[in-house]
Amino acid sequence: MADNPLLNLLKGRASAGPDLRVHLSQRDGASLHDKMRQAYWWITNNAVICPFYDIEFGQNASLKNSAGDQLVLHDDMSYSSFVLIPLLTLFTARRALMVGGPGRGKTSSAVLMGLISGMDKEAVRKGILRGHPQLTISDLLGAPLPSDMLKAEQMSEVKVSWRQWIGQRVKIVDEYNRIPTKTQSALLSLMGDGYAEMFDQYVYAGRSSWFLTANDDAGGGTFQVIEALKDRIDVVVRAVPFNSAFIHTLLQRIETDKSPEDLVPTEIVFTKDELDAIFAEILRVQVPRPVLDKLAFFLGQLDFCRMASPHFEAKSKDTLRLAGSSVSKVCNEQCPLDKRTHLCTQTENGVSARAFQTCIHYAKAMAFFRGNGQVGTDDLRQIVPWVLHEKLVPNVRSAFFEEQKNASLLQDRVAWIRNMFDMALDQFTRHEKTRAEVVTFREELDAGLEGVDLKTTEARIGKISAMLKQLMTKSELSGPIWEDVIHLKSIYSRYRNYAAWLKRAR
Amino acid sequence: MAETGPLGSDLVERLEREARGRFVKWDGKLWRSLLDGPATLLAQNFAATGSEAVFMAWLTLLRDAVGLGYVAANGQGFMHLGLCELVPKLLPAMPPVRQAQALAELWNLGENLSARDAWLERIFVRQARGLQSLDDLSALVANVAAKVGQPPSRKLAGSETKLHMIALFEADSRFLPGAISYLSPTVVAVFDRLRSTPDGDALALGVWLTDPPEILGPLSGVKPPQAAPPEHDFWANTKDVRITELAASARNDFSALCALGTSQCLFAMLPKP
Repeated sequence: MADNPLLNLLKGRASAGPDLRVHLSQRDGASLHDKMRQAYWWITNNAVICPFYDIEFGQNASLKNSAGDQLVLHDDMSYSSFVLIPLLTLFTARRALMVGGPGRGKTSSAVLMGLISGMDKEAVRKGILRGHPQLTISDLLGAPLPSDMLKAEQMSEVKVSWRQWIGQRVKIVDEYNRIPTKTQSALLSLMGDGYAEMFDQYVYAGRSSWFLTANDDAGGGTFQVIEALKDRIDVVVRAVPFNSAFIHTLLQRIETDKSPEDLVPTEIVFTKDELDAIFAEILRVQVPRPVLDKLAFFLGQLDFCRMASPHFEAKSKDTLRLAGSSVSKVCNEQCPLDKRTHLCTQTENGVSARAFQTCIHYAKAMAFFRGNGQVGTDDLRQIVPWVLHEKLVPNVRSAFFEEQKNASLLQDRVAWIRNMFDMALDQFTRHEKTRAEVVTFREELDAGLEGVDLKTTEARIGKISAMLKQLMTKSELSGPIWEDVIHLKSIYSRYRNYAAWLKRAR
Repeated sequence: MAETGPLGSDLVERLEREARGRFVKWDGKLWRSLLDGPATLLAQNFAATGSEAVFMAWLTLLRDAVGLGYVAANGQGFMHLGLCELVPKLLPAMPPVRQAQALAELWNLGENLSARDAWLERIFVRQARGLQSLDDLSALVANVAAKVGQPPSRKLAGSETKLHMIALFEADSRFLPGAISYLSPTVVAVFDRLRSTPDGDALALGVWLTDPPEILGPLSGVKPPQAAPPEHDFWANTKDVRITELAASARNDFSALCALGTSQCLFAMLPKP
């Protein structure tokens, strides 16, 4: 009886004091991801009026009308991308671009992220960098002190007064596409490398989350956004239209003369330590090998273009780009690949290793937010389109988009990329066996060559050659096969080099 | 005391203002209804002898319970029973020095139960309804702990037994008992063999195998047993003419249970006390 745990039910965090008051100590049950979820739901229900639940999990059932419009209902938790993705950006300390028409809540949403990161409203407001055509590097970064400029004999003696926003945990750049190109370059260094330089002095951005806004997602505005800056953006968030069913909330805001920013509950405000702890927890989320393989299978084949070059290794879209050409110019009937099934035809480009990393990081954050210790394929499926939104350019002249059911995908990048991901998953099942064989060769090599004699080496080379031959003669040269062949050839070359070394050493 | 009652006092405004800032799930409508109900009642009952500090402590706990979702509009849960029904009724009768301690114990019990299985909270709610004094909270916990927190002292084998017919239809008129799963030695979940919840989960009723057995109401989040071997042999050997067409059965050392294809009752064979 003494070890009966139920006997301890009267013990807890409440205690009575001699002043007849009851004191509650800090709750220890509320974990960090509970708090994340509380923040998400508070913003969704009170701050950003957003009934668009477009990040969906679980089995689905679809309802269709006679015109073909389809509504999909999922049986697990669904979330609004416009709220969730900025939150994940805050917790992963990454960079989000929020796009959409004026007055859609982009800046407000970014301001909320600042507030729940523990900044006060005044600091967040003052810290917003507002893009405009006259924005100079000094406006962006700061300026040297005039008195130092007169007295200094060396550059290092000029003290730079750095702008305060640079050191903030949440950085908001409003209408970044209205920043002149030259100033964009200074922003690039701060965003990409985490520091800026002026008069031989450096300022560091530290671990921070960036929220950039733009009034349209075509990158328009006063100035063209430089490609490198676009590439530094990790994820895109699309603003959503206002749903008139919630007009009473607007009425309430008018009548109370309060904005959601005035009412952020302290329960959802994170301390710096909590943000750091969440960052570390997210990194600890596991990505199982099969899930990682699926991501690799999808992203890896996007760069392939069979028509890019007669040289096998150069069959990538980068080759075309360097030559000033494009996929749309070469992806024609000369290429024997079926444009309805092979993903390579759909994009003008592939993605960088940075994009791979971003997908993995956000997928981990998504899994953590959902309370999971491992990333699932569904996490990837939901997050990948938002990460690749600004990174992938569709080949609008592809035969794939000529089909009526596919043409509309060109107007919605999220739907398009998710459709590609689904197509890749279908192909993955068929290609899995081949990929697994290649991985076996890799693991054999990674186990180390110490003690492997020439005979064994030659035997392995023989097996790899046989597989290469099989892939080249029995399989259609598609993106995944090209990747496998390139991978196998690299393993083959390592063994060849090793065999040559063994022979010389004899 | 009446002047410091819940309605119109600065305290109430301050508590509500703080709550709006602190709690994500703050339900202002519920809070106001509690001010009109239990708070007014306690203020009246406290008028002669109550301590203002204790009243403030209770009101603050009630505010936190609303904010944290322990007290909800559906009026279920131990915290709701304790803070909104038992306290206004029983707290004024206690000596002032014990009142704050009783509130702390009540809060701890309610908060601990909210983190445990729903069936345990239901048992406490049922048992606590009959409390005559908040001084009896310790005895209540000890009693439930003895009945639920450890295996019963009498085993089925070797004991004189009694067959109980548990009328599940009283809790759910359309309930058709099927699979049975033990949640503890004396608590079971009985699953409806035809229906599921609107979310597609198994529809289950909890039953506490005490004497007499008590239906604990619908349970969510419990899973039907995965192909557990039925205990049909036990019932075949009882040779009770009422037991025919077994739909499901289960057994542990302390009870044997079965559901019939022709009945909405759960049949429980328990040792006689």
